[in-house]
Amino acid sequence: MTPPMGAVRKFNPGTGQTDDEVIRQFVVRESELEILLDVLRSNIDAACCQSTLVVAPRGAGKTMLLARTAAELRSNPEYSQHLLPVRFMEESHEAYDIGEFWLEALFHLILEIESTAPDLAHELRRSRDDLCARWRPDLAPQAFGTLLDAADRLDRRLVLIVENLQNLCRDADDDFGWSLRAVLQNEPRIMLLGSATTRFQELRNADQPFFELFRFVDLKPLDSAACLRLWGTVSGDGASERTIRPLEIFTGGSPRLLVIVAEFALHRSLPRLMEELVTLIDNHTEYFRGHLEQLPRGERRVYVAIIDLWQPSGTSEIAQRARMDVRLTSTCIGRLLERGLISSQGTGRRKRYVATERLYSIYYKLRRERDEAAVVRNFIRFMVAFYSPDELMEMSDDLFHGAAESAAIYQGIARALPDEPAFVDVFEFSFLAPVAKAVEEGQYEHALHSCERRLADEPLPPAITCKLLGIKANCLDDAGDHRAELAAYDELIRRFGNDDDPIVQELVTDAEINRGATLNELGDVTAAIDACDRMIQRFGEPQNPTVEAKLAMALTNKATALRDDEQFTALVDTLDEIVARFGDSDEKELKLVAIVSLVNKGTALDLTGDTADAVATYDAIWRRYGDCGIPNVEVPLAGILFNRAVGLRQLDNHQGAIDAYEVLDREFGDASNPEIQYWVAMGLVNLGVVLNRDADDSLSAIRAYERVVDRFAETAVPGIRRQVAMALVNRGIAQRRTGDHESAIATWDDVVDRFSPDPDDQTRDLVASAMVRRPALLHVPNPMPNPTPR
Amino acid sequence: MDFDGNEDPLVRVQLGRALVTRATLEIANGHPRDALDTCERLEREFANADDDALVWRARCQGMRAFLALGELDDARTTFELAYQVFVPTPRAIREMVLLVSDALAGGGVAGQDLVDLLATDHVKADVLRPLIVALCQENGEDVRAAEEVLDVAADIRASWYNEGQGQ
Repeated sequence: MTPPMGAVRKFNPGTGQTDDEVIRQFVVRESELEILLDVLRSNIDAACCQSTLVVAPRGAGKTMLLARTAAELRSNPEYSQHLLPVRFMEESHEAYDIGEFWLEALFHLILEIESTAPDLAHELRRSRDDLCARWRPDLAPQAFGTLLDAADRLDRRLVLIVENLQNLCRDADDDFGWSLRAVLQNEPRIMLLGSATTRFQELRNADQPFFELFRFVDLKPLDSAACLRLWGTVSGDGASERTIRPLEIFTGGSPRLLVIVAEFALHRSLPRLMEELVTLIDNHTEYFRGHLEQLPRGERRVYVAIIDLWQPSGTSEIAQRARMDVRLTSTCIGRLLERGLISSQGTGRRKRYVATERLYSIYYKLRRERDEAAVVRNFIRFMVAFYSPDELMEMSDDLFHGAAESAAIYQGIARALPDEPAFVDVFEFSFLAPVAKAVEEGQYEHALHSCERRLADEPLPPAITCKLLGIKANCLDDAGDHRAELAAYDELIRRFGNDDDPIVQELVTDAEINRGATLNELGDVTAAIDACDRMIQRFGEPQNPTVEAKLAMALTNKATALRDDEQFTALVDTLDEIVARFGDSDEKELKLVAIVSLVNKGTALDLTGDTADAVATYDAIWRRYGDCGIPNVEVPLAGILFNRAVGLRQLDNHQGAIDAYEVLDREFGDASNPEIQYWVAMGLVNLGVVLNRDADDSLSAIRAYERVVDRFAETAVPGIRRQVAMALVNRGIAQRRTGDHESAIATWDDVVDRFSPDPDDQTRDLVASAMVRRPALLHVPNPMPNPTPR
Repeated sequence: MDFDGNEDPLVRVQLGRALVTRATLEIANGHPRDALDTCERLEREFANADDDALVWRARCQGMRAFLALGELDDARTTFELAYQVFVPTPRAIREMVLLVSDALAGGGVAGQDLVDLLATDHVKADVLRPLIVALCQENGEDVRAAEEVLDVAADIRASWYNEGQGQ
């Protein structure tokens, strides 16, 4: 294993670096460097110089290659005696016509020669300042003349290194391209070495200025051997071609993405790295998101559709996924191709498109809902299995088994193989697997026992101890032993609060957040709220997307504590804060937290007697999120429609209540989720009550009750069974009200027949109610009060 | 020391693993019938052992033994039985790649049959997606999938051709 060198640049390589550093860090693209140097060598005494353009997508290593070329031009006498690199800044071109372009060239030439020819640099600066002070476009020849004069005095030809040439062409005036072409074709003292993300329009069309002007050097994705070299340079870790292959696949051979992954991979084995890909992506959310946010709306929609589809897809598929018109989609695809963000495969009608930077699809899917993320996780799992070194798979089962059983064996392996983290990771997995399996199967007592046995053994690495303490606390929570649960969290925080390992810090933070909830369980509301507030303060400002989930958890825990302590005003404030922060989040899970908070706010307002505001809150939720399409949101949405109807009835708005119950049935009547079915069934029973009692419409009430019986009679879910029984009892009451005593008695008999053979806690009282009502009807014709769900 | 009658679960696991190795060696040495006996014993005596993978591994060897005997219908059925107890651990996934390779070798089991079998369990099939893509390509299909998946499938097929046909 060799120690890693100074950080390899992901962005702006060459800027602020010495030539030695650039040369040392340049370990791939050697053949392309040779091509560029060959062209430049032939330009040294050519009557007309060949200009060159490096074409490749973002992150493919264009800037590094040009920086390396400039370093060679400066440091190798074969070139430095004849050529001088003049390297423009990568991103900001301040040139909008040919004159300003020459001024820019002068500016960068001055920087280039400042240390080697200070007098000339000083003189040029004065000339340039003078030109700038009285600048008019017709001074362009003077600026160009100054540049040529400098080249003569330096006795070297100038190699103008200009990046992102497509941007310069886009921003400059119409004459720029033709003026530059004339110089490049006729003036041997000036040559251009440029880069572009695509072969843009000015290069392709015969009537455009750069047509057939450049020699192109395309940068292809790195192959396994090149990935391996770059990996070793960045991480200092040795790797085999087999273990580098999954990383090559994930990054698509993009040097920038590979450097990002390699930096993250320090001291991580392949299985661990793949497991933590999500963390890596979280850490670089700004890189991915920033890139997306720069796109105009239509292009962004199309791009997101392409990365969501993941596989190469045709225009109509993309249009369908983006929910956009095909023609508009096609236009956006064209623009995305121009930007180099997507690439095409195939021709004609079989043309398909994919994102140029592969990790975007992975990024997008991992951050979407669970099923989408599972696809990627499964893929990662397969890759770990397929590409892990053979030795890992061939390790003796005895050792794996032993590691699962004994901390001593695990520790021994960790000590014996300090340079083989791949082995240690697998044993870590094996060591924790029985505990994890017990938790997964709900055997918390067994899991707790396993945790304690492992913790009591030899000292373990901090991350493992933290994981075990966290699992132990969860098990104790399940057992209802909150005091011991709190002690477990406290121990974790006390022992590892100052540990530098990011994995450990993550676990400590989780423990601190959970501690707030535990304090609430113990009834110490003040301490619980304090604990939550500390976390909210830590994660709340400034807004940091990578810790949003933790902030949401802390705020939710605080809300729970306030609700349990019946501090409704503070509760509503906290819920409002959650909604303000996450109500418009792109993350579905965070948006769901906001929606549930709004539902809870409505309930809190209702509990404090502010039913009108509660109803207004429910209305707002329905308007804002009714069609948000998040699958898990349907249960709370059904709940708010029900609560809204109840609230309207409390406000004596009976018609509003009837309409609201009908909306609930219309929106969710076909749902298969039992929780939603419960809301629908209860809503229909309540609808019958409002119709029968408030609207004096017993016949409609009977029909509402029959909808419940028709739809849910066969259910085995206890709560819904109760609604069926209640619908029948109430139907009898409504029938009696219409004077149809015979039907009423038959209905109550039906209740007894259906539910008395198999009575349960949910239906026993209703069976009794039906039994009591039947004989009463024979003798007492007066209506009895309705049983209602609420 | 004879471990055969030992009831200690840890010893039983070791015994089971030894039997799997024995079956492997019996196939390698041209005694597939003996291997089938060994696999049957594993099924009979180790179904409830602490190591869940013993039955899976026994069935893998069973399929290979049937292939060695040219009893292709039984090989196919045993593959199906093995898949029923397949749990997608890293080691088992790796083993599955080899098992499919062996099943295909010499036309033992038709590629399409293997695809159909693997597709019967959606959850497992999701994990084995690159393998299924590789199999479909092996059957001559033009498969549409993410480029990452196609890359892995290409590597799987290369491993089948470059590294011999599994065990």
